[in-house]
Amino acid sequence: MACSDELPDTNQQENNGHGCDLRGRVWKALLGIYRISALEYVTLVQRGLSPVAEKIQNDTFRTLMTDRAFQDRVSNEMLTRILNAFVWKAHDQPPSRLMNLRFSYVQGMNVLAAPFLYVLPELDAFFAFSSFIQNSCPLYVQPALEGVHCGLKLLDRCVEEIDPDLFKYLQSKQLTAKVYAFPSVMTFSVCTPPLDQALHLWDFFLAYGVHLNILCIVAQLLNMRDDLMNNQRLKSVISPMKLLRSFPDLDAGTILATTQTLIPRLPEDLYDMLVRHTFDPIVCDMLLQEPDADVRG
Amino acid sequence: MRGGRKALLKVIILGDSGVGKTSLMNQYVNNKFSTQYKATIGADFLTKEVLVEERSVTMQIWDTAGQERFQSLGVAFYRGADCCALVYDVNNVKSFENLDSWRDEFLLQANPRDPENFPFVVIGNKVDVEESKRQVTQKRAMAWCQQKGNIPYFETSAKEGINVEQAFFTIAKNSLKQEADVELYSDFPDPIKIDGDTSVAKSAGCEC
Repeated sequence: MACSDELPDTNQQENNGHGCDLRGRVWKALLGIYRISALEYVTLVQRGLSPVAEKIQNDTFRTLMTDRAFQDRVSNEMLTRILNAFVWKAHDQPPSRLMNLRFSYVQGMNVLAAPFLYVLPELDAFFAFSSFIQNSCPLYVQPALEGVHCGLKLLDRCVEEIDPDLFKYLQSKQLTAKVYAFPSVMTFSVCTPPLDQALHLWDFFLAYGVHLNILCIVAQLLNMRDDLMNNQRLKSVISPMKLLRSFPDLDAGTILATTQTLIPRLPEDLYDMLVRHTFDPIVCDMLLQEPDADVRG
Repeated sequence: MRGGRKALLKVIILGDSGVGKTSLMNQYVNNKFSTQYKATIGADFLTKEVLVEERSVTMQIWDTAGQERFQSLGVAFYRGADCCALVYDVNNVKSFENLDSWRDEFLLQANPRDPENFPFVVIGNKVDVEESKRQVTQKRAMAWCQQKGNIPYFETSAKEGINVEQAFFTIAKNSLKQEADVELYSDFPDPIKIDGDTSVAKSAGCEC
């Protein structure tokens, strides 16, 4: 549904802190949030500032600063509470025996919490955010951001597979994913305005898998392809590095349409790694041992 | 760009989160200050053409996220750096005390050829804030710089545009000096095609 019938924009009236609108309910269902405990959240909030509160404080007030609708709706205090509560929750959990995962606060998590607080009431947002972090993309928020680095490597590979000419061109300018796509990968595209378009992308990610963000970034590159490559002939117009510094505003409809044509074009083993890279440490370890695209010849 | 004299300088800006790295870069390159700034994720970069000692050079300034430190960004960001600007907030003593570890980690990750003489510049930012809030004296900062091998020191305000130009000019100048010592080394060398012939050999048949 998230894909075929577009979800309506987040409803300001319906979700005024008391209930969830349609998108909110769909997101919760997709994340498997069937029950929430107000007591648990209140208890976590009552513990006050976490050991990394200072780091959090440093980022919350500059989260999506340029988005008016977000600023009107989500306060600094809400972000601070949800992030500190998450740190306490993670603090209490024994590290998993199977995968040596550690959760705390890393820069960028503030941006990941933003869509949840925008779409859902704070209490629901906390549980949805926690599930997203711990289940959907646990490797993205490890202290060294291993998952993000894997995502970047896979992005290079997907571009190479789908558009070898573009890949070679970018590579010749030393523009590998690590240089131009770090924010888009880490924040699942929320770093690119406007937020309401990013939310449509998230409908798709939550329904079909958060790994699809990588292909949405490929789609954005393909949409900019002419501008990027034209620079070859028209020297000194706008350098590709400048063009890629901040991506054009998101247009979810176009991006998703392109993305869906990309999926069947990827070899199965690459797609399999793509699916697993956000949560599977085996894929992550394997990818991180391979040389970077900028040193591959 | 060939012939050993490169026209591109790579400058890395490091320092704690919130000290004003992005603002310094924006003030220098675009002459703009925005209060609507956001936390940098990963790294950001801008370039500026400058004239140093009658040479036109392109400065590529890499602004890094101040929080997750080097291991999260990977060596690729620091490799080939010509100069490193260490930034702290004069109203935040912790950001000053952390300069040591930023410097050490930079040397570890960037692994420059001559770490003893690698050009650093230290910038104490936010001097526009009222004097009573100041936590690090100029004297203390300069003593640290001297102890680390006479690192040039600047006190700036990215907000008011004070001393920013001068700091970056010194960065450019010292990067070039460094480059004279380490010649024939370029960030962006022509690619060496190591797979050109091997692919033919491979397709000719299996070796086993």
